[in-house]
Amino acid sequence: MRVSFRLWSVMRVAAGTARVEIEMPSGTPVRDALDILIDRYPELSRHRSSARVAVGTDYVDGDRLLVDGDEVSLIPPVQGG
Amino acid sequence: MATVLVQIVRGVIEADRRLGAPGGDRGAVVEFQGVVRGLEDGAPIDGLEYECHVEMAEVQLRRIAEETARFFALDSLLVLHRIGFVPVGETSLYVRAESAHRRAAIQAVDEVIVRLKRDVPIWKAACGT
Repeated sequence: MRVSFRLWSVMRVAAGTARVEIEMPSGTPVRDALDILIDRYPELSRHRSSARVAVGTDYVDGDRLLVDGDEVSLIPPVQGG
Repeated sequence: MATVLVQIVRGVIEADRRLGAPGGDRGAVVEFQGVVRGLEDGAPIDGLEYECHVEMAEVQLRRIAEETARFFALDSLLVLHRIGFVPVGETSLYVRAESAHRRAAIQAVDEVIVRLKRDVPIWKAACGT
């Protein structure tokens, strides 16, 4: 399956890109998908512990199983207001 | 049932009374404007550049506003957040709550801001002079 990652703020800057698409086995959990992403962009690793993850428009935890076409956003600490 | 409106906007934010005005059962209107300060970490800036995951921010902000309006039994709640470049002195966040009594409206505005700063995917970067 193909999973699309969207990177924001410091994570976008660290990776040098806002979007990444990666092929991975169907049903991959979010936490394993992040491992795959960080293997490709190791500069993201220092932000991993502070980032939350969303699929579509909702926050999810690492157990969430991904399906083809999911859009995964890595959300570093937010700063609105 | 409260009237709730949230928007992510790119233009100037001004006081917004579109959801109504005091009258009838409404005895309190609380309006908050978050304004960009001229100093960031002690250094002068021209403004802030706000980055936003718009689709997600709208969903998260609507959820926060609806839950807050219900919990505090508001008459109306309006939340606007500006994104893109916001010059010093201009409004980046506008919250307006209307209720029968003051305490609910005051607490609701603070609740929205606290939750927005925790969950709504918006980031800022200083733009220097």
